[in-house]
Amino acid sequence: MPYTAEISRAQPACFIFLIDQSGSMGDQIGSGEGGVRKADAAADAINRTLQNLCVRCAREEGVRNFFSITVLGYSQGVRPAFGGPLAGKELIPISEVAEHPARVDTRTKRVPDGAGGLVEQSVRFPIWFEPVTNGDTPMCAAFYKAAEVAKSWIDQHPNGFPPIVMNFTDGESSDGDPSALASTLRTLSSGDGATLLFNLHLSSHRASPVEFPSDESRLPDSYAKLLFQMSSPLPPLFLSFAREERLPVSDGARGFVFNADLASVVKFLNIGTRPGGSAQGR
Amino acid sequence: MMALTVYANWAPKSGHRDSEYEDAFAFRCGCRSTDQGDWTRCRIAVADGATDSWASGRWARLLARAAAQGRLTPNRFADQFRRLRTRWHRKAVPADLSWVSEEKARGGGHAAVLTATIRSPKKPGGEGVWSAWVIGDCCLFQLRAGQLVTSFPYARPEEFTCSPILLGTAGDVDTVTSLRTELKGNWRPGDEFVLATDAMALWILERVDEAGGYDESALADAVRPRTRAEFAAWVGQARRSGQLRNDDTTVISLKTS
Repeated sequence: MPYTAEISRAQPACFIFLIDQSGSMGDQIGSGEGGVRKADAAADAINRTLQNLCVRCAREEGVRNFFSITVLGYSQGVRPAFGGPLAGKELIPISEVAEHPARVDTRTKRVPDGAGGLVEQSVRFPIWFEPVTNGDTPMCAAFYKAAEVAKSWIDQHPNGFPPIVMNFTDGESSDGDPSALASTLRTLSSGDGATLLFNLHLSSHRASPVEFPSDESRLPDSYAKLLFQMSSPLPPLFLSFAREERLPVSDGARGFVFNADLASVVKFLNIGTRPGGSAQGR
Repeated sequence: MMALTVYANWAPKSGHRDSEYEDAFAFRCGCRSTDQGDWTRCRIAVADGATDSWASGRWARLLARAAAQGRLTPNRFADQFRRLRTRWHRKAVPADLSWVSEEKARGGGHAAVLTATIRSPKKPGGEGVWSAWVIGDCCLFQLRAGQLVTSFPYARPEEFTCSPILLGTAGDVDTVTSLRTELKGNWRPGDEFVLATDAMALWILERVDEAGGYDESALADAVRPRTRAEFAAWVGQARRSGQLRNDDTTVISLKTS
């Protein structure tokens, strides 16, 4: 059965993130309330996804390298987006990503108090990426580069879990229709299945958020529909974990979200027994 | 004099060191007197730390030892559980954690745990009683003359999931208590109690399913006493064949006579 290869230190999985850093990402997202720009949402989304990946790998002795991470920004060309000690690097072990955020903020979060209620607690939140809005949207070039990285990974790990590509964009490609290149990317396969392409569409449209739809009926414009069509269907195991997380997914759901959260995809990966309905208050 | 034999086979997940083994097992037997050597009560326990949680091996060891030593019993569960949770927290969550360890530790440790108490019969050679409780997917099998008498809490392979209910170090204690499942029964001399964590328990139930019953000869390599090397070789072959899931693998047996 595809997409069931064990993810481990001996056989890690690969994430390739594509971040649209173009000028149009400076527009406000959705209804415009709160003054959040698309670029702010993209930076927040990738920071939270990386945080989730690091935390999933954390153990008492350190962060286990279950994942390899590449982040490519695209605006004036396509280039590795990490800064600091990770600048210029691709296929970075997750332990190095955990060790080198650009900074660590302190935020307030509501957590269970052990007596059935919630209490506010200060938590540390790592930041790797700041919002960037500058230039065009060479999405075709981004998919082309992603395919190069994916192919290199598959050559090194021919039987491992296939690469997962996550594209954070407002969908307004400036270098042509990216559909064909997205299709080519999705044909690159390991022995465990084809490369997965998931899209987070950040839009100024005021339509309601959509998560993992099975069809285009709730999508408001051509950009959303194009990104949906380019997105891979969720593998069966991902669907079952999504349902455990109480996400309303149906058969045929795709890895696409519109003005919503894509970080939850990290929870769909099976890297060991996780506390499901844990015997504790929520 | 009635005798008991207790033995355990265990192996870490392939690709993991022994120090990364996150299952646990323990047993403790009480005697009337050292002169007679007759046992009065024996407790055995297994626990399975959830890989994707914090310090779960430490939590599993705490739970298994406490259960076997009578420090985690149904009639005083809430208070005893709170004490264990405090002990875990003191060791597992020091003050100087990195941002990623702090966030992971916030989710706590989680484990499945099962314990059985076997009491000696009132008359020599007579029947005795046993009781067991479980949270999660560890299983108990009671065998008699090569037949499976009891399978607790699961009786079918399809009852296992990737995300079982587990005992966590955080959260509401009353909720924890309500998720415990208990069972009682009788035992006769010659009965055997086999406790296993999920990978081995699933393997046993699949073999029972295939054979239409418990087949002693098919299960002996897994369940009978083995050296570490012998069991590791069997586990390796079973994993490569796809019969046994790649996970920490633990089975502890108590045989009466």
